[in-house]
Amino acid sequence: MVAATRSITMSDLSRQKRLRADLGVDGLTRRHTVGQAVEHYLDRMSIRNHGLRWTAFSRGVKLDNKAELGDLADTDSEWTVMPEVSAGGI
Amino acid sequence: MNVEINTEFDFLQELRRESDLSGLPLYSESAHAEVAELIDEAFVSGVLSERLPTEPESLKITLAPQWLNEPIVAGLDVTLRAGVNGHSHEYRQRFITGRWYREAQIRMLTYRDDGVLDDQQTAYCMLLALRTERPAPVRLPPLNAPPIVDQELEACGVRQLVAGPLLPDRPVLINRQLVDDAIRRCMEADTNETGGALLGKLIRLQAPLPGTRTRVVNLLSASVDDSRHVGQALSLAFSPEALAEAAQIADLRGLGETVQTVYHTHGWKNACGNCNQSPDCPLAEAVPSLQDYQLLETLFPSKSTLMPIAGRKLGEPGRRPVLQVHAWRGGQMTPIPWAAYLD
Ligand SMILES: [Zn+2]
Repeated sequence: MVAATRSITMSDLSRQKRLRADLGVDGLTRRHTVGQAVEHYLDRMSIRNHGLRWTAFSRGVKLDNKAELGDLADTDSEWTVMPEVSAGGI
Repeated sequence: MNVEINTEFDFLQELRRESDLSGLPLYSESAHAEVAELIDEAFVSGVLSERLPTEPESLKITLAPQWLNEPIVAGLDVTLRAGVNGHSHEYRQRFITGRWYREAQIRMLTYRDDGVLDDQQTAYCMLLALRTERPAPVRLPPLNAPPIVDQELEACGVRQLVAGPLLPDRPVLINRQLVDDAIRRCMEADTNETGGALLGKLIRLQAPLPGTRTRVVNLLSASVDDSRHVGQALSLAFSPEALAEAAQIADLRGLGETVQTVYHTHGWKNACGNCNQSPDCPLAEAVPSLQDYQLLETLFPSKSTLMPIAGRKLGEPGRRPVLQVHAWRGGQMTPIPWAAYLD
């Protein structure tokens, strides 16, 4: 059986820090979870985690951090990665 | 892109009780990630000012410290030499501050809380460059130019520019409706913070605007407010769901825009109204806080991002908040001039 090659593209909200990962090639496989893919993105792009809660959105909908990449719909291949973060005055 | 870094130094960040190297530091850590951030900023500045090509084939990076007193660094010169189609382009930027300085401010707060430093005691934050035969590698993020589309202002709905000086190497145009809304919302929220997503894009004109040297212009065209962003005094929690929805709205508009950044407010006391004149006003001025930097490092990590803040500005005439726009300029967010436009 031939598994289809899949890739995901992760980016920040402004789509300026983009990373494309071909599953099975760039350190991520179909068995990795969404949460692990987000960590991979942050590490590759040298984005500080700051201990915040991070989520990936696809087509405006939050992805389950525990979902395996192999189980995602083919259309869920363009993600926006975001933390829950606050602005402040101090 | 083939990237090569030339340096003979290891970089350290330290916080000390004395302004020299006597005694033990409060902390001493690698500053290579901080230096990598400066390289990223220099690359993006070079691209936005059109001094560097957007997609070089090769990039040679040279790091040259200017000494206060070796190994204490007064400034770090980052030189980028980009090669494309047999041509070479050079861009140099001097940095006198960076993330190590903000890190020191955060640590100082903790040291004061823990009594390691008392309230009157000062501490000195420094960047050190130690000469070495084998410098530890600087791990760079992928150096990518932000997306820039070839387009003229008319095609972006810009009908008229309202006079205002622009930065020659970083022109920013903002829809006046957006500016008025941000100031109105700042006043409505009173001493609480509020804010929202800002849509826009980077475009490349055929010729630079008068008084500028680059054809690349940053447009901020619309704001998307959402009650899921929860503000109180001194803080505003952005809702990722609401921001993801703003990104969907940007797509639906079909203008090639993205959520470029967010704006937020630092409060205004309507009962007083003298917030611009009163030095003892307890409200924060419209400048980025340490927490705002954390937002930038996580939500908008690109060095091409902007941070507009509405609020008081000491010395500004009038009884209204101002909108100050900040851009990465030399290792920190700096207020920049910008022009409003009518659509
Ligand atoms: Zn703030």
